[in-house]
Amino acid sequence: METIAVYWEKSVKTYGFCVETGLCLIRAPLAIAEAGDAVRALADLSGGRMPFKLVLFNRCANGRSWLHLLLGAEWRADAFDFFKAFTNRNPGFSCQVEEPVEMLYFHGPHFGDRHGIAHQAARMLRQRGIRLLAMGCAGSCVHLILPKNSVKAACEALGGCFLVP
Amino acid sequence: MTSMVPGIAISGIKLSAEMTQITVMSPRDGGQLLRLMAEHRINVQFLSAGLLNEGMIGSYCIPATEHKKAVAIIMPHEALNRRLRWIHAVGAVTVFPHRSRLHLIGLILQEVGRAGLPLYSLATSLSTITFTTAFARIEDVVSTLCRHVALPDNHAPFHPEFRIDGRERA
Repeated sequence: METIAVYWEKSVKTYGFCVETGLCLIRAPLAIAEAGDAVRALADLSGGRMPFKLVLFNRCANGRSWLHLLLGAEWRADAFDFFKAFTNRNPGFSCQVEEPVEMLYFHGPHFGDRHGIAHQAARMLRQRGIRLLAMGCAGSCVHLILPKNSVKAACEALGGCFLVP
Repeated sequence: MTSMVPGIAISGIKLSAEMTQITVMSPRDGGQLLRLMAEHRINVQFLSAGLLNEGMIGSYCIPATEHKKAVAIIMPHEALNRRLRWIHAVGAVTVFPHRSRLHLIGLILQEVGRAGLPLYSLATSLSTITFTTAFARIEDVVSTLCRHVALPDNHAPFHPEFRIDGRERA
């Protein structure tokens, strides 16, 4: 059965922009199972209390994989110590930590089913000269990770093409 | 009786239709790819990308039904096309809710990796964890996960029951 619905909007509607600041972004070159071991060990270390803000994992064309893990600032020291110890046990491993970073995220009606939303967001940030450290679009959510002190300008930039209630 | 299996409690797993994944290694290529897809009304259904000290790594998924169209669009951009890596017949597995549990992410990466199943990319959203794998192995991935998570007996079907086709009016 086919149902036809018409949905029209002048600007892309969102349910609002959400912002988090003072976050810690960890980038680690890890194979899949290694990344799993590291993430579970990190979770165990905190007794399962360390919540993540965003996780991205990607495999490069050269076979290497990268884990991007975004945590709240309160977990920075624990995560940093963990990855330092991990580095000591695994010569050649090099983990990158960037902090503080900021996150802007939003969702809207049928975002996962519509074209051009990620492009609009990335384009508006580029036009404002705002560096995008990481981006995740899954389901109907868009997550943008930004350098410190840039989230306010990013909200203004995105406000130019997205409707905020 | 999946709920009898001890494991991390989740509410459900959803599987996507077949997709094509395009892997990008520079922010410039990522921007160009997004622009081309948007200009030709191709939905990037899943995106996971992060800067590295040298370049970036990004995974962009489009519907398999748009694959030929995307190839035709990108082909004339020879330099871009040379730098892209295409993975055909990819499927997305979405596990929900994550409740910000690192353990659940670790479990997925560990078990899929240990089973020797492909995991090309992963991104979390507000409540879900979505990762891409080979479409032909998607049932193996679900079987592997179901050995380690606890699903309710009345969980929703894994496969989508309907599909949304976005078309713009002329």
